[in-house]
This record gives sequence, C-alpha cells and structure tokens, in this order.
Amino acid sequence: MIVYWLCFILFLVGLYGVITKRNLIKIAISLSIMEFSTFLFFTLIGFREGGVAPIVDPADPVKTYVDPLPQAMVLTAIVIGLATTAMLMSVIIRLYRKYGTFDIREIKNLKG
Amino acid sequence: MNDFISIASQPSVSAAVQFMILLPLLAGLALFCIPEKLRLYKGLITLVVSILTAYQAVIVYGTENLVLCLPGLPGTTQGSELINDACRYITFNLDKLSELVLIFISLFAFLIILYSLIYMREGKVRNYYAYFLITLGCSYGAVLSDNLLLFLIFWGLLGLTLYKLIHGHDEESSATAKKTLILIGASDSIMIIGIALIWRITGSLSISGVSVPTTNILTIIAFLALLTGSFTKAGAFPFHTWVPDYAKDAPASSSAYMPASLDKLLGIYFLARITMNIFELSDGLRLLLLSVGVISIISAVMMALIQHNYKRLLGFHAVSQVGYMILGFGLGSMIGIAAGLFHMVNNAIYKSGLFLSAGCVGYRTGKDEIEDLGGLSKMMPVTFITSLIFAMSISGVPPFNGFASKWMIYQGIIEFGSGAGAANKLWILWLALAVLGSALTLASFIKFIGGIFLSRRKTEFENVKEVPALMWLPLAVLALLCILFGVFATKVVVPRLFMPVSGTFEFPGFWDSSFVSLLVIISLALGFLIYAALNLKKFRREDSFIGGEKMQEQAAYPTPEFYKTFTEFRLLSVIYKKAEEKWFDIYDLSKRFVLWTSHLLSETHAGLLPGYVVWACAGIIIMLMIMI
Repeated sequence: MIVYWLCFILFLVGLYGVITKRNLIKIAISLSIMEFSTFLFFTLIGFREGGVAPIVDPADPVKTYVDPLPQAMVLTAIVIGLATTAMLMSVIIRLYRKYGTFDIREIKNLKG
Repeated sequence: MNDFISIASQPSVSAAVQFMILLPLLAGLALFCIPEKLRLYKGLITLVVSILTAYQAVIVYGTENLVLCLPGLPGTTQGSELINDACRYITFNLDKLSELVLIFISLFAFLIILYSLIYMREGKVRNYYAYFLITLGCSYGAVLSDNLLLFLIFWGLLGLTLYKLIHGHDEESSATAKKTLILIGASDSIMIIGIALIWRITGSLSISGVSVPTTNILTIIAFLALLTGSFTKAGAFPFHTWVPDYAKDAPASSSAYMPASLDKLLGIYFLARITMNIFELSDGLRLLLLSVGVISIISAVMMALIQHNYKRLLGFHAVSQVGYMILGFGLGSMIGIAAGLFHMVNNAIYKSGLFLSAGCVGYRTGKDEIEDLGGLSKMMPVTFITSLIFAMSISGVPPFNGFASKWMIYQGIIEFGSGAGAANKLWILWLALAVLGSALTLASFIKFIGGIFLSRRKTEFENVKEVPALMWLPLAVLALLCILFGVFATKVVVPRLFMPVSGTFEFPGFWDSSFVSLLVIISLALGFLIYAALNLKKFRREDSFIGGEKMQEQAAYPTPEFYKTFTEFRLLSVIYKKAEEKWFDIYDLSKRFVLWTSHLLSETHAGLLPGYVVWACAGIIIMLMIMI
C-alpha cells in the first residue's frame, strides 16, 4: 500500500512544479514527473508478490505471474510520452523565439 | 385530445384554412426570386394574395367551432402512419375568437399593402413584400393553430419577420432592430418553458382541450411564462421597450403593420386564449393583470407626453392602449372580455391609421420632429381630418370608437367592484387611473395634432401637396371604421362581433351610442348655426393659450415644449431622469447585467498558466468529491 502513496506523492511533486515554477523548461520537467508517476503506478498495480514473468512453461507450472497488460500499456505510454515531451519542447522553443524568455509571467496573451 | 369533428362535412372550411396559411407563405417565398427592380409588380402580387386570403377569411367567418387535423385537410393521403402521427401536432382550431381575429388581420393587411404600394416605392426595406406575405401567413397560422408547438413555430417566425421589416440603415436603427429581435426572441424562449410546463402538467398541448387551474406554484409559473410572451408581442409594461424604438426607426407602414395592428391582435389574442381557455385565473393573478394594465397605461402615456419625435410619441401610445385591453381581460367578466377585444380591434384601427398618417407626413416633408413641422392642415386636408378622427378616437372622445370600448371597460370595472376579493376592493383605483390615462392621452394628442397640422406654417412647407389617393384611401377607410364602430357600438358592433366570443351580457349603464351620436351632431349643428347667425367679423385676436406657461419669444408656437413642466416636478423629475438613462428598460437592464457578468469572468482570465492549472485541479477535485 505504501508504494501507491509514494506514487501519489511523486505525482503531487510534479503538480507542485507545474503550479509554482515559472520557467517553461521546469514546467515541462514537472509534467514528465507527473507522467512517470502514473506509469509507475500502473506497473505497480500489475505487480504480484513472488510472481514471475508470464511465460508459460508446461514442465514447470508456476502459480503466480506478474500481470503483463499494464506493462505493455506503460511501454506504449512511455513512447507516447516521449513524443508529447518532444512536442512540448518544440512549442517551448517557438515561444522562446517569439517572446525571448522562458518566464510564463511574460507570456500572457490569454489575459481576458 | 378532443374528438375531431368529421372533416368530410366541412370540406370548404378545411380547404380555406389550408389556403389561408399556405398561400401567403409560398407566395412570400416565391417573391424572393423576383428582382427588386420589379417592386411594383411584387406589390401587386401581394395585394392579390391579401385579397384572396381575405376572401377565405370571410368564407370561414361564422362557421361552428371546429378542430381540424392534418389527415382531414385536402391534399394529404389518408392512412399513412407518418401523417397519422403528425396529426397530433398539426391541428387547427376554428372558433368565434379566431374567426374574429382572422377578419381583422385580413383587413389591416389589405389596407396597409394598398398604402405601401406608393409609400414603399423607393424600396426602403429589401424584400419588403416577401416578408409582408410571410408575416401574413404566419399570423393566420398562429391564430388558427390549436397545438401549442405549431403555434410557437408561427409565433417565432413572426418575430423574425418583425426584425426584417425594419431597415437598418444607420447605427441607431440597426440597434433598434437588434433590440426588437432579442426581446421578442427571449420572450419566445420563456414561452417554450411555459408550454413545456403545460405539457408536463396536463400531458396535452391542445389549446382547446386544456384547462389548468392556477393553484400551485408550477401552474402559476407556466401562466407567467406564457403571459410574458403575450405581453412582449403586444407591448405591455415591462416588456414594451421595443415598441417606441421600433415606431421611431421603422418605416411607417411596417410599424402600422406589425406593432400597431398585427402584433396587438396576436398578443391580445394569445392573452385571451390563456386567460379564457388554457388557465383558470385565481384572484392574485387578476390583481397582477390589473396592476400591469394600469401601470402600462400611466407609465407609457407619461413618457408619450414629453416626446418630440411624433412617431415615438405614437409608439408610447401603442403601449399605453394595451393597458386597457389587459384591464378588460383582467376583469374576466363577459363585459370585460368583450371590452378588451373591442378595444383591441379599435386600437388596431386607429393606431395603424395614426402610423399611416405619420407616414404621410414623413413622406411629404421628410421631418421626424414635431418642432420642425407645423401648419400642414391646409396642404394635407385629408391626412389632417383623418388624423384628427384617429386622435379623438384614441383619446376617447364620443362618439368615436375609442370612447365606446373605453366606456365598456369602465362599466366592467364598476361592475367588478361589487365582487368580493382583494382586486375587487381596489376598483376605484383601477377606474381612476384608467380615466386619468385617457385624459393624458388627449393631452399628448393635442401636441401631436397641434404641432404637426395646426400652428404657424413654416415657409419651407409652402409647396407640400396632399399624398396620392392610394395613400389616403386606407386612411379614409380606417377613419370611416372609427366612426361606424363608435356610432353603432351598442346596437350592432358589440352584439354582432364580440358577444359571440364572450357570451351575451347586458350593459350596466344607460348608453345608446347612436342616440348620443345624434345628440353630438345636433349640438354641433346648433353651435354652427349660432356661430353663423351672429356677426362673424367681431372677434378678438389673442395669443395662443399654452397652458399658463411663459411664452417663449423665439418659437412661434411652442407645442413641443408643452408639458415640459411635468419633467420638473420633484418626484417626476427623478423618474423621468431615470427613464432617460433607461433604468426602466428591461433590455438595457439585462444588457448591463450580462456585460457586468462577462466583465467579472474576463477578470478571472489572468493569462497565467498556474492560475489555469489551479482552476483545472480544483474542478477535478470537486468532480471527484461529487462522484465518489
């Protein structure tokens, strides 16, 4: 149980970074932290105490396997996360070219 | 639902109903295809269509109460499942009330289209005739339809054509058009709520088949919602504010057609439906109706007194007259309902007449303000005499029709006073305010007639001519109707036209309109004889009496300054000032509220990312708390 809480705390660390940091790069890093905390959470859900990799061997029938589905999903999600991070970075670079700063307080064209 | 009367026995009626609704609509759509250059031909087509539909309305008049539904109408195949289902929604109701309103809709459409042939020759409004015909078809549809949803469709289309019949040539008139559309549209959406509530309460949407007692909160809300729609259409306080602006900025024939006649007929028709058929009114709601009635009368007439633009002055009167009709329906007695309907018809006659004569003045002089005009009575005698008749009718001078219906309303109020109940106890208040409103109407029409037709003539108007015959002919017909309805009110008009709707009743007081008219004519003749018999040469010349005000040296005849003292009284000055700042305008009030809210919302857009993240997280947390 404690590991799930640790995942949640890691998520909150990322959230804290997104909310408080003003540097866009740091925000991107915080987003990645949040992302990875969820990946960790998923793989931990699939983990079984004393389980082995789910390769069925008829000669040696093992009772418990680790659930492979979250692992496969997370593997995909990591790749997608990489792509989104790259996308984020390119947006940040564009923003830097336009505004000449990483400080989000300077970038506020959304202001009502 | 009620059982449908076999249509086979009445094929001509159902064909007429179908014809009346579909012909103007289709002809109107077809007119969009004809180029604007052939405007005169479009006008002539419209005239022919209006005559044809009027003929159908006359045919239909006098048939027994009927509920028609779609499969019975000619041209639809029997037995199709789709059509059988649609039958629940497409039903038409013919009774005495709708027949009466149909006749007058046709009459006004015909007269105004005759007038428009000349007045609209310049093409002030694009596709004027097409929208005119669509309005005509929708009005017939709204009056005839029995299903509330069908009614709502026609009713909503009328709001759209009202918007298109005004020409947005500058910022002010565009703003007026927008205001009209928003007010009418908002009231229509409130009506949808009311209709949904009725459906919820009774499970039926048929106007003729529903009767809801207003006892619990749900029915009262439904009633108020439908009342809002009716009041906005008819232009009663507090939803009246589009009427004066529309009157000022729209072409005179448009304002004579929609706010002065058709919208009054339809709004009051719907008021009659909801007070007589759909709901059974409780005592508190009667009190509400009566107070709204007198507030409409007094507030609008007070505003009319101080207007300088003569069309706007007429617009405020269009509001104040609605108050009398609401008073009539608020009474709820037979004489009250008959009086309300009679006043509705009378008001449509003289008010469209007044708008048309205002259009004649504008057509020949091009001026909008009373102070720019003067002394037109010699140049435009027909317009002058007809406007004088209309003005006397609206002010309730016997023997014209305005007096006849107002007198019936007063009689109704006096009779109403004998009942027990909170509203009945206050009868003297309603009566006093209604009479006061009538007097103030006369006062403001002295300004209208005096400022435009009498007073000293300006040199620039030396060459003004009378309008063409096609323009004064409708005026003459309307003026004739004013006199006829007034003179034969008690003997012919009310028993023949209005008693079938309201039920037969006896007039409480002694009043025979024909006899009194005879007396009026005799006294006028006597007065003329005395005048002629005495020596004419001996008379004094005096300055014009201007109500004890100080004469202004620069103005020859300062009619527009009449009643300016009103605005300087202590309490009234505050009210007038607030009214000028549009504190009583429900449109401006809601506009301010919407702008304030959106300002508040735009304040929250700081443009900073962390702020948005906090909002998003807070939203997620609240959602989780609700869902878990």
